[in-house]
Amino acid sequence: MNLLEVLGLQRSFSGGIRAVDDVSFHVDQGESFAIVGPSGCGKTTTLRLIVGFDLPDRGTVLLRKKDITRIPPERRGIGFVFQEHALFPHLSVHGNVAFGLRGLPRSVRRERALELLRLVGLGAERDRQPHQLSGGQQQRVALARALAPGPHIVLLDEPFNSLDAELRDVTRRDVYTLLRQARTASILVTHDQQEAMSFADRLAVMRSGHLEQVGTPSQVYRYPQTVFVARFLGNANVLSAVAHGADAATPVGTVPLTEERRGPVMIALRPEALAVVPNGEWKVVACEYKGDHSLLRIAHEQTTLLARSPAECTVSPGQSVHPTVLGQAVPLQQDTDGNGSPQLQSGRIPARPDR
Amino acid sequence: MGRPRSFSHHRPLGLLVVAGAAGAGVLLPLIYLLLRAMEAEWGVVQELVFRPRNLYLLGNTLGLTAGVLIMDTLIAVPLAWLLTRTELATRRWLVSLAVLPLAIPGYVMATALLGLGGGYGALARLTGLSVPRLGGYWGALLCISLYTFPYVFINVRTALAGLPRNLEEAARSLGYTPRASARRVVLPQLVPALLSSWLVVGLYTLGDFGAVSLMRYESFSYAIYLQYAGAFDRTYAAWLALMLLTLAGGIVFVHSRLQRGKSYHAVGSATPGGASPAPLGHLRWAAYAYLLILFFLSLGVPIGTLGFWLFQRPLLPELSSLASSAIDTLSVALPAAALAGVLAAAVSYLSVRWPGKLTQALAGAPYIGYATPPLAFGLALVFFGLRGVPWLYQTTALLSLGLALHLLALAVGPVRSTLLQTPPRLEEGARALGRSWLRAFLEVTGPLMGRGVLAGTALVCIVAMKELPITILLAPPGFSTLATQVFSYTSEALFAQAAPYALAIVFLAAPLVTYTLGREVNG
Repeated sequence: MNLLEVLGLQRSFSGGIRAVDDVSFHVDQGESFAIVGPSGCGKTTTLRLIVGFDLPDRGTVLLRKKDITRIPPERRGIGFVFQEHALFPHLSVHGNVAFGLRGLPRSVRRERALELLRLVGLGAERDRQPHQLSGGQQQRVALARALAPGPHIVLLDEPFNSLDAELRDVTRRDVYTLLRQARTASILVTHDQQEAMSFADRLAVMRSGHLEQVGTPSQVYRYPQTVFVARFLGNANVLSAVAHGADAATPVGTVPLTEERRGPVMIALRPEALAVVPNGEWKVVACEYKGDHSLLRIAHEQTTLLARSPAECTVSPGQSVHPTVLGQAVPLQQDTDGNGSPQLQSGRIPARPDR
Repeated sequence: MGRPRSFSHHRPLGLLVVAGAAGAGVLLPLIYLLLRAMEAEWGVVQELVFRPRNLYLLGNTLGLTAGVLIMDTLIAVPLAWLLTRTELATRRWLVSLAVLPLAIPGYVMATALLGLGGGYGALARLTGLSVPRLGGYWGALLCISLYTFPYVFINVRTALAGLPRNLEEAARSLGYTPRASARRVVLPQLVPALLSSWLVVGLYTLGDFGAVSLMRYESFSYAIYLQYAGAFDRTYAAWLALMLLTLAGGIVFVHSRLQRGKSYHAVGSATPGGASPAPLGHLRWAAYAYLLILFFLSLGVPIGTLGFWLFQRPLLPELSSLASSAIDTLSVALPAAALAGVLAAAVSYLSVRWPGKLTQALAGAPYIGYATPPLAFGLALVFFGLRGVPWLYQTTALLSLGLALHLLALAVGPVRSTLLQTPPRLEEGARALGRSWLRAFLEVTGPLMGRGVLAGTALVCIVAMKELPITILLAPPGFSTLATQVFSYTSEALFAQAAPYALAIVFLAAPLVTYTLGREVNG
């Protein structure tokens, strides 16, 4: 069942900039959804429209089939976790978590708040003040506070941004597990594609106010529909090619396509679908050692491509190589540089066989 | 003793001597006050201390202080909210208007309010409408509130503007209405700002002399003056001053207890401000009416009334006397400000570069002088002058010295903060480039510190020009500042004679107040 439905949401700010432009998607019961995009793409504004901190110019937000577009935030039953945590500095950790539990007997409030603090592993810290906690602990208190009133859905606005790299991964895993345990649906907003892909059941890629593509992480990663998505999620090589049905002529030779096309077309080729053998017209520009593999940057005339090679760099910069294609390329829709033109209906991904 | 944080291992002796002299200068007079009070025979002391009249004075003083705190809070909190959170926040000039009443000294405000009512007051003469002349508790309360509310306003406004907006949003998403989140989230976080402004206003009201004496309200300050100047009972005056000092100490103590654990740390890197200001809608007219009434009472009435009285007498014959008062005023205020600037520089530099128990104590001493009610401080200086330095007694030098020591804390504030922003690295860099300690200070730190010294000196100068109680107690015979002229004319209800002096003070102080405070607030 659709828990949350967002239909044609639109919001302009002074200066006529459309921060959110015709955004539609849905989130299922208990699902983890993510909106990923570069900074300034309108993802935070979308979140603020859903929780009710801001009102849309047009569009509808439905929660359990009920129109909540114009309802004040305090009556929506939506939890919100801020980028800066926004813990109340005048309340203890316990006070923060119990804050949203209103109209309940004192003992029930205390029990419920403690239960949540234990859930996030901070039962012992309940009497501390927020500033005495580390960044990761503050993050978990913020989540416990948002979960305490038992919201239908929790919105997370770049919640891991203020944490350093190491803490980020651990905290993200913790939050994921906690939301699963609480069986609470969530929307995570982030600019980090790795974070979005490892967190979400489904994700949406957002760009200058509109959604470019919606799907499961593997769908969106494997079958990007636009140049932007292909480049933003993993560093796909984007090439211009001429398609002849099931395959296409490209600067790296004939490549099989995931979908039949004819005529000039842009294609996306993942680095892992490209390997090199010694001697050829291409030159190695750089070789980045990544531990379990190496990433080669090869160039020929105006074109630079990324290719994956086995762990050890078997070729060195300056050496001439020949690229060979191992996998399939994905034909992309013509990109019109995002002047609000809807490139595709979001959320529709044609079912395709793997490889 | 704290380890030296800086390159030079020895605290410069010269600086220590200057800062030590400042500390001694603040404390010595208070010791003389104590000695003078103790001189009396034990039986007399008992009779003085346990007079029922003291209880009456205590009740009056505390009642007035509490009333002013309540009034100021009721005026300033809505004002701060209007000027930070609503569409009015974009009008910066409203903020300048809101701090401007600080330029009006208490005795000037009292002069204006007294000159307004009564059978032959400005209102009766202009409109034929006779309202009773203000006076007593309500007169003093209204008068003091009308020019002290900006202290509360400045503090609350700064706190409100710095409060991350997402705290309120968090409360909203947890089920709180805007009103409930204001009460449960915003208000508790304004408490530290309110407490510190209450301390300033509370100490001010305890020590206020001009407004209460002109309004004939018997608080401690007025009683001390009456004993000293009227009844010549200096022992009783000394004991009353000690009681007032104890009361001020009590306020500082209560404040520090309340403040404990209330200094909320900002958590996370929250961005303040943010969301768009609330549109006032149909409340707009109520908001404008509120501002209009407030500014009318706090600025329009005093300026209007004084303006009316100014034209009741020919101004020209008055000019030479006005000029001589202005010269007297400056002849005391300028040396006091310069001295305070020098002392503040020494005290601050020592305590910032060589932090330790001794230097911290020296940096704290000016605040004792500032918190001491001015009449008690003035009386202490009288005793100190009579006993300790009789050759200085009743000279303008002692008056300047007294003002400098009483107001020193005002100069220490800005000097310290500019110094704290000047890292010792800069001096170290200069020394690595071959400068001696003194050259490094003169070429690097000195110029950087100069801004703070200048700001502090200017602040002392403004306040010294308006100062009344210490000036009255210490002025040499025949010496009259603008402030003492206003006071003596108003005491005899000669409003037309007082008006030119009062307006002169306001117009001297207003630009400086708008400049220093307006910049701080609008930052």
